[in-house]
Amino acid sequence: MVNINLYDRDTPTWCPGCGDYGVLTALKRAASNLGLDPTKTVLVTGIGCSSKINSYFYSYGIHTIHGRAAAVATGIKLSNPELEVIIAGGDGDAYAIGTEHLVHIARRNLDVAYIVMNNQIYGLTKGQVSPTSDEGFITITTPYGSYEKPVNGPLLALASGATFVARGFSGDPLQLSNIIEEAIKHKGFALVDVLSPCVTWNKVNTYDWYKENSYQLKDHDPTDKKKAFEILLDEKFALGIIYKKEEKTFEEKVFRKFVHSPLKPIDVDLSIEKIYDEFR
Amino acid sequence: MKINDLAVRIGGQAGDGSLATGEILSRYFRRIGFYVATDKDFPSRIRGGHTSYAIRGAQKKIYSIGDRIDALLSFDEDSISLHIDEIEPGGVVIYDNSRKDIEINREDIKKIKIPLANIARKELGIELIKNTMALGVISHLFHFDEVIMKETIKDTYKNKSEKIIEENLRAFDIGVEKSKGLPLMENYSLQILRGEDDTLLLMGNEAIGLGALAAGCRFIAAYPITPASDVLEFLSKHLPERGGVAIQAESEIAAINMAVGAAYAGLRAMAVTSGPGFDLKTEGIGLASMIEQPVVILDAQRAGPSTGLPTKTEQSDINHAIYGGHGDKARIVIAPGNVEEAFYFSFQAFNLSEKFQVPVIILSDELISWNKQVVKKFDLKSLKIERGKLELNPSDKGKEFPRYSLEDDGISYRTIPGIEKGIHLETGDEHDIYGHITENPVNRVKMMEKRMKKIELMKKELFPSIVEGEGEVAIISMGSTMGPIIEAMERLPKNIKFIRVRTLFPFLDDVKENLKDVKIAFVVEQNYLGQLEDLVKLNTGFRNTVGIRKYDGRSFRPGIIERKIREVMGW
Repeated sequence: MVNINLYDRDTPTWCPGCGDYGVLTALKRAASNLGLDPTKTVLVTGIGCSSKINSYFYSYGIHTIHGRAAAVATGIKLSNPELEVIIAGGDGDAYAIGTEHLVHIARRNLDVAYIVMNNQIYGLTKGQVSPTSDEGFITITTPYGSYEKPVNGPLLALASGATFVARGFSGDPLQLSNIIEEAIKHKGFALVDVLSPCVTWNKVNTYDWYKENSYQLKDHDPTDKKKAFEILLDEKFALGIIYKKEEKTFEEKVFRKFVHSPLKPIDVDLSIEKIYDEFR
Repeated sequence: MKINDLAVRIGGQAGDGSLATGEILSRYFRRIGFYVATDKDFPSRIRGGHTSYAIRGAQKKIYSIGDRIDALLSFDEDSISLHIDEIEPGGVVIYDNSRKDIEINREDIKKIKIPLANIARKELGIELIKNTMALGVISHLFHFDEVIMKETIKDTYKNKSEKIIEENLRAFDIGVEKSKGLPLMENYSLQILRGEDDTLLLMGNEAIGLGALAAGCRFIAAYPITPASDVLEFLSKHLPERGGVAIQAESEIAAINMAVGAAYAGLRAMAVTSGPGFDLKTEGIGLASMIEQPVVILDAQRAGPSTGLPTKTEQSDINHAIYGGHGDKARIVIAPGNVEEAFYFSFQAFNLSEKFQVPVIILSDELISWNKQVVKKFDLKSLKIERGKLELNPSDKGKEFPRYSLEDDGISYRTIPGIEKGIHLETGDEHDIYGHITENPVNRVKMMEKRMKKIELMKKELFPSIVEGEGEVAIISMGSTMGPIIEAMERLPKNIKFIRVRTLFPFLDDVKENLKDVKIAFVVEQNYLGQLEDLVKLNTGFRNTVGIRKYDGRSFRPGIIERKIREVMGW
C-alpha cells in the first residue's frame, strides 16, 4: 500500500457532481492498495470527458484517438509486458466507435484492465444519444426518442471471451475500488463497466435512477459462465464481479522464447544473414 | 544472336503453377550470375483465371522485364491470345496441347506443341508436375546448364519431402528427353557467369522485411492486404525468434494504433498496408505526428480508388501519402525505386522516424513490392542504428518529464514508459511541454512551430534524387518506373538527364537545382492525374513538363516511354 496522494495530478475539469470523480477516487484507492508504481503503469484513454482521467491520475499516460485506446494499449502491452496497462474511457469509446477493439482485445485475453465509464450519453460533445442510451431516450440528436436498443457492453465482452467482467457504480466508490483492484490483479482481460452518471446532459439516468435500477450480486459464483450471461441479461444492473476465470493470457502465448525489452539499447541485427538462405 | 538476356513468360490458369515455375527459373538465373527482373500478372481470386509470370534474366543490371519476351510457355489458350504478339521474332512459343489443340498464327517464331500435362500424368501420375517438365524443355531448347538447373530445383524444394524432390528432378529429365529432336534456339546464347555466390534473389516486400529486422524493428501489426501482406507474413516467421511481435490486427485502424502504441512503449514498430488500408490509417498516422512518435508505415500502392485493381500496380497514392489526414503535420515520405533500395530505405526509415520523431511512410508500388531482383548481399557493416534523442536513463527533471520541451531544433527529448524519471503525458490534443492538454494560444503557436520546424531540419538527411545522364531533356520519375526508363534512354538518340525523385515529402531542393538547365521534362508515372508532375511543378516552379502516364494496372515498358519521347521531340 502506498500513499494515495502519490497518484494526484491535475485538478479535474469535470462538472461538479460528475460520476467520473467517483471512478478517479476508486482508481487511486485501488492503485494505492495494490502499490502500483506510477513509473511502470500506463493509463491509456480514448476521447471524451472520461478519457481525460489520465490528466488527473499520476502515472505514464497516453490520451489517444476516439475509440482506439484498446488498440494502442495492445501495442504497449505487447511491447513491454512488464508494464501495468489500464485502459479507461467512455461508452462511446468502448461500445460505439471502438467496439471492434473491445471484441478483439477480449478474445485475445490480453492482460489489461478496461474501465468503461458508462453514462448513457455523449457528454463532451454536449448531449447526443449514446450506444448505451435506452430505446426512446430523448436527446438533441434523437428529438423523437432513440430508435435503437442499447449495446450491452459487459455481455458483449463476455461473449467475446473476456475472462473478467464486472460492473460498478461511481455512487459507491468503495465497492468500485475493490472491483478495479480485482480487475487490475486479474491475469487476463478485465472489463469493468461503471455506471457513472452525467449530471449535465443526462437527466434520466441519474444517481437515484441507478440506485433504483441496480442491485448487489450476492452469493454469486463468478466462475459460472452461464449464470454470468443470465445476470447480464437482467433488466436491472447487477453490481459486483459477474465473471472471473484464469486462462492463459495473450502475452503468455505470444512470447514463447523471450521478450525483447524496449528498455535495452539496440544494435544492427546481423542475424538476418541467417535468413539469406531463403533467397538463393 | 541474342547474348545473355532472356525473357520468358509463363502463362496458365491460376493453380497451373506458373508462379512456381517462374520462381525456379529466376533462381536459376541468379545462380548463373545473371540479374533478374520479374512481373506478376494474376487476378484477384484463388483458383482459375489467367495468370502469367514474366521473368527476365540478363548479364546487365535490369529492373524491367523489357518490351518483349523470347519464350512463351503456355498452359492455357489465354496465354496464346494475350501474349503471342509479345514474342520477339525468332523467339519461341511452347504450348501444352493436352487440354486443347489450337492454331498459332505467327510465322516468325518457333512453335512447339507438346502435351506436357498428359505426359506428366502418364509418366509420373501427377499432372501438376508439368511445370518442372516444361523447365526441362526450356533448358534443352536454350542450352541451360542442366546440372545448375537441377541444383536449383533441389534447393527450391529443399523443405519438401525427398519424394517430391525426386519427382521433380525426374520430371525435369523427362522434359529434356521429350525435347530431343525439337529445333534448338541457336540464335540465343546464355553464358554461365557465376562467380562468387554473394547475391540474393528477393522481392521488394522481403527486402523491406529484412531491412526492418536489421534495424531492430520488433513489432509489426497489419491487416492482410494485397500487395503488402508478404511483409507481415515474413515478419510473422522471423520476429518471434527475436523476441518481437507480429500481430494480425482486427482492422487496418487497429494495426496502425497498435504500432503507435508499440512505438510509444519504445519498440521500433511498423504497419504495412496498401491504399485502401492507408485510407483508414490516416487518423493513426496523425496521432503519431501529434504525439511525435516514430512509426514506419509501408504503403505498397495498387490501382485505386476504392478496391480498384487489387493485384495490379499503380502510383496513385502520392498525394495521399503526402497530404492524407487533417491538420498540418510533420512526416516523411520516401519512395524506393528497386529492391536493393527497398532494403536500405526500410532500415533508414526507422532511424529517420526516431531521429525526427515522426511517422515515416515508405511508398512502394506493387511492382517493387513483388518484383524479384538480384541484389548484392546487404552491406550490414555500413549500417548504424540512430535513435535520436531517446533517453533511456534521463536525469531527474522533476515530477514530470518535459517530453515536449522546446529545443532549438524542434526535437524534444523522448522517454518511454517503465523508466523511472520519465513520467509524462502524451495526447493527440494540443499540449504543453509535459504533454498536458492546453488550449492556450501562445502555447499552440510554440508547439505548432516546434513540430513544423522539423520539416526543414529533416531535409538535410533525406534521400536526394538519383541523377543519371546530362542534357536539356529530362525524365523525372519515382519508384519502379526507373527500370523501363533506363532502357528507353539507352535507345533514344540524344542525351537525356534522368532525375529519379526518392523523397516526396518534404520535397527536397535538389530537384529544382537539377532542372536548372533543362528545357523540357517528361514526367513518367503510373496514374491518371499526374500527381508527381504536379508535385514537381509546385515545388520547383518548372513549367515545361510533358506527362507520360499509365493507369491500366500494368507496368511501363521501355517502348512506351521511348515512343512518346520520340514523338514529342521529333527524334
